[in-house]
Amino acid sequence: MPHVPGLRSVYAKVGRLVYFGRMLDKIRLHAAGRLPAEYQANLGDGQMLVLDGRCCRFLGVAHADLRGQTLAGGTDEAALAWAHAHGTPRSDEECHMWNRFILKLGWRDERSAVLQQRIRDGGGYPGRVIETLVDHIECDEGRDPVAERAWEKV
Amino acid sequence: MPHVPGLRSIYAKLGRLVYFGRTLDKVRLHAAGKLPADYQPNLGKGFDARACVFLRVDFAALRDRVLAGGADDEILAWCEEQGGRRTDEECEIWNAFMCKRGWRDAGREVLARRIKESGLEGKPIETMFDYIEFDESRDPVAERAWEKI
Repeated sequence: MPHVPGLRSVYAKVGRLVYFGRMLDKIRLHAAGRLPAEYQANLGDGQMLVLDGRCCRFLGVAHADLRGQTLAGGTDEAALAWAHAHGTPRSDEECHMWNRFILKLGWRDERSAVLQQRIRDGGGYPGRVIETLVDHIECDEGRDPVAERAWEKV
Repeated sequence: MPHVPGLRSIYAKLGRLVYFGRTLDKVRLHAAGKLPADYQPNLGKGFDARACVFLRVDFAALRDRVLAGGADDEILAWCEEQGGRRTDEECEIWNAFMCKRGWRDAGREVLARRIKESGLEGKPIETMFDYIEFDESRDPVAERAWEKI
């Protein structure tokens, strides 16, 4: 999948969290009819292992509620503040661990096989280093987090 | 540092958690005067501290509880009474964070230094867990220990 206009990198942080801003982008793009079909199956928290679900469970809010809040308008920071206010309080340490957990998924864990399948499905990505699910997402959308060592900027 | 009798592998789980059983071992060994000097500066710090923060218990209080006696499971249950029970997903996140520490994060520089200090260059060490296991004469990479968690 090439770059999707309006869909930011997984690494882009809102507040203390990676991925959260991308989840908001998906909500807004979907509402505007501009979220590509390939992304719609993993939208929301209906599946245990998708990143939207992991992010919502970490925050302790339902995706449907966050969607309503997001589409009512307001900034990313306001959406996150709403989630923190209505969900599970999270310490800096918990946010730090969650960020690293998300960014390293697919390396030495039960998602490694899924990652290898996605790499094969995507044609192998010759010349690229893909070791995590996030590497794959970024690479698939035309970015190169490994060359940039994007994890050092989180 | 070769194998330390009474100190379990970092991958050995107690309840739903890696590492924590090792913290209990360290407390008991220290009290018995059997914890090697190399391990004493980090007792209650580093990963021990991360485990206590995760369980929301104070290390000194944990130490007292361990030395009062009881099985590992009882100590863990005490921690959950004190700090509240974590969800399965929180435990999954914590385990993964711990097992992967040193790879693509701020722990990398410390890891590189320890590998050099221990003369373990050439070993396929990617994480702090790898380092500790190799340092104690186990090989988690050959065993793919992370797949058995």
